Amino acid sequence: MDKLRRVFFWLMIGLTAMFLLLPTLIIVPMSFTTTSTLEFPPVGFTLEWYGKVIGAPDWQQALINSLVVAFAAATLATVIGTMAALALHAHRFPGKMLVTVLLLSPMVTPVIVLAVGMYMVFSGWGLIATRLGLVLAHTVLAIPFVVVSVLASARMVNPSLAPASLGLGASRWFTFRRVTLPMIMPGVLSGAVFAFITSWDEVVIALFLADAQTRTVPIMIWNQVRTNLDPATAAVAAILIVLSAMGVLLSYKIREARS
Amino acid sequence: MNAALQDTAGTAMKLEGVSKHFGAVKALDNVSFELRKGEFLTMLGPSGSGKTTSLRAIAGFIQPTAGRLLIDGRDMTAVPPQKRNIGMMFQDYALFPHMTVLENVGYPLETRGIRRAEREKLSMEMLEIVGLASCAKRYPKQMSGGQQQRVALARALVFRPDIVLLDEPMAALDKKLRGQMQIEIMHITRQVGATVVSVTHDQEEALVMSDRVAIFKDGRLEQIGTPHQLYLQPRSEFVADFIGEANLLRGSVRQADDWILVEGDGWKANLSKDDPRCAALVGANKACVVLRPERIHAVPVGSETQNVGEGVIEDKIYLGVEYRLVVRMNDGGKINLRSRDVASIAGMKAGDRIGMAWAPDDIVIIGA
Amino acid sequence: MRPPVAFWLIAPPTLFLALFFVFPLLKLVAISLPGGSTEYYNQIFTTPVFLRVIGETFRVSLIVTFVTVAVAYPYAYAMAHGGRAVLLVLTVALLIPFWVSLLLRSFSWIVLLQNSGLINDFLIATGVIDRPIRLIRTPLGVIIGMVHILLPYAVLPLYTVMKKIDLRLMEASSICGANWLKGFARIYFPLSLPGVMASAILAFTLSLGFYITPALLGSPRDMMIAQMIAGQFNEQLNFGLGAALAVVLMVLTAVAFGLFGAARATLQMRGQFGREA
Repeated sequence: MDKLRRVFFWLMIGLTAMFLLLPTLIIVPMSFTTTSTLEFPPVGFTLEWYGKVIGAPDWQQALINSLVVAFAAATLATVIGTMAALALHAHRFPGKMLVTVLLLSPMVTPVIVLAVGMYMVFSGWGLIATRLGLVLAHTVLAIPFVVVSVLASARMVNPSLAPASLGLGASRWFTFRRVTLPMIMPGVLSGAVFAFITSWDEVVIALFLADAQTRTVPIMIWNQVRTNLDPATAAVAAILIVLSAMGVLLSYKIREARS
Repeated sequence: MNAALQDTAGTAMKLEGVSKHFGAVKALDNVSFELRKGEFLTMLGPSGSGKTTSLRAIAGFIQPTAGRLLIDGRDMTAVPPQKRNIGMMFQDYALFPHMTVLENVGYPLETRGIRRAEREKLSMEMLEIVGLASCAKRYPKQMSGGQQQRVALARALVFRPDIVLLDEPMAALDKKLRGQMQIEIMHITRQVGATVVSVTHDQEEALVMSDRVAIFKDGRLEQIGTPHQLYLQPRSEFVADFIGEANLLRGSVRQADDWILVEGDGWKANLSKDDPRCAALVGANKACVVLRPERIHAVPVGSETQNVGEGVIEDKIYLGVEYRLVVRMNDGGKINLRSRDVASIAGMKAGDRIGMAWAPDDIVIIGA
Repeated sequence: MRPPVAFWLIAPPTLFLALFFVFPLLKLVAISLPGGSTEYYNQIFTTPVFLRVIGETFRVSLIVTFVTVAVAYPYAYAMAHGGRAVLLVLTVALLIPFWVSLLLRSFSWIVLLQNSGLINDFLIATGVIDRPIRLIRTPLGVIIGMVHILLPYAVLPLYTVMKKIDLRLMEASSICGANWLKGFARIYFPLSLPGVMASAILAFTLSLGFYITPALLGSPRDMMIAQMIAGQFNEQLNFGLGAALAVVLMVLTAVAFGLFGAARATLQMRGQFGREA
């Protein structure tokens, strides 16, 4: 009876793990299919879809848009988020609780709500169909991740180091640059990677804020997926997955190297 | 400790040739002993000796690789823990944090289908016995270590189990509390008439609380007996050394007329040939003599007794109630001597030669 | 007196979020109440179409939450008590999908769930069914997709709580006479309850606002609130109504979170959080 229960349990776990991995695992093989619509298991092997995608001007434009927006949003979010995290970690001030809630709220607000709200406001400000608008919107989404990441890092730092530096006569900026920043760097970098990925993958807000010129890779994918199941989409997806994997490995290497 | 109990008929539990292998490691090697009804048995030994493994095998958390476990005459080797009607007090108490003290104590009754009203009554009675009746509605984390221990004990006893297991009961308590709780637990278990198996590495605890002690080493049962028997008649060097302090004198055997001699460089021990202890010396040319420090007296050097030794005082330590002398023998071995004859020792000092004597009755022979 | 360092550090982020986050949300509230009139809200709560969508959103979210937590529970248990090797493997399996975007995974599900897809092929091959069943563009497809996306979110709070549960308590339970089921019901499950609550509320809150997955895997007939909001803005151009729906979603999400906070607080008082010696 006991044995049976164990077998059943581990079977369930195995199935759950497969359930988790299946969608991710089929994408890369799918992209090699020779059929004109997506099949899994794939039929034959070809790299033509990759060629088609890499050479297509609309994909190339989307790629550029995505990269520019993601880099800009990641940078902006990292700066803002790090400032906020430092303030939360090292200082007391009135309304700290409220500010903390504010900083983390974008993470728990339904993204559709943010999308339509920003759409209404940004139209008034002429930020629709601009990369700037998208950067600002994605920065909002990314800030909570940076704050959480930097805070986690800051909590592990020896709290007497900064005061010691100041006590020795260093200016605040010098102390930050040479003492604090290097110590929280793992959190900052990891936050930056998170921020980049958040912007890179973001689709809902982009759908509302972008137009044909400024559309990002996720928007292209969304449009494709709703019309037909083109293996070219799978090729793009495969590329994105490989890039994600590299991003993850990068952030782990950073954490390892620095600790 | 309690001769009356030893007269009660009935074996509560029996281990027959129990062994447990974890891969190549022999955690238990052919362990056999009986547990009598109403007795308090402690399994004593260093860590890794198999005492805890034995306890867990009795509880049913471990299945023996070989051998049988009989409780009240019935083979329980393959029976799961919940059906064994055994109570257990865990080393860190394992109290259920989300239940009150009363609910914790009542849990074994709950699993036996006893209704709430009856459960609460029995649990309160048990809590009275352990002195915690006023804490019934509190949660474990609101109690001190000593109180939690009593709750754990109450939970183990509430359903009047056949056997109660105690896993290092004093380990989580501070030193001061230990002495007090040793006596209390002994009283409580006696009051409810429980048959107890306890595990510890603390020999003092074992001697204070138990009717009998089973000494474990490397997975085997070395010796089992009352504290008296173990102290005065150890059957191995390990046991002699583990219980109390022992001087182990290893020497060669020589036969002479009606005597058998065991001697070494600077000492000799003599036993009459018809002394039953000589049985261990038959055909042997080497033996070990065990002498307890308090059984050795200081005598003038060169005394003409048959049980005598000689050496140089290395350390003289004043302990208030007695003196402890560390004497170095010719062969480099050290003897510990404890004497309350403060007057005669007072004049001695390190570097003096000293004679040591003991009564033949105080000799313990262990085959080499 | 010069403002302290903290001010300079916290002012820009606060200003940024006030401008680009809070203001858009306030704008939505403003648009939803033209001249103070609650006409849009009245419309929402009296028209069957909207009530149906809200109801459908709740229904799907509840089902998804239940299934997700039920699947997450044994998985988290295995991670917490299965040993290091198991933890490693299961964590990797859990985090890999986390790193692949929701859009891509939903897209992948379309391929898997289509009539000629892997799932149907498998079911036919094992003899469970003899003709492909329709999984795309059905509530079932949406549920499968949403459970997949929410699973990592649901496992983590459960794992965090379960890790702290000492399995010695289960040993104690068994020596007290309880079989596995009784021990689980009376000891393990109650101790894991804070994790179950956290997991369920998180899954429920997130699923209320889902857009991509139901849009790709579901049919327009069974749409959820987020899709309706998008429709009002993109197609109907009825910004006021869309904004009102958005505010309703915001409020529902906030209430769900509030419930979580309340549940946590009561469990904390009863000493159910964590294990103390």
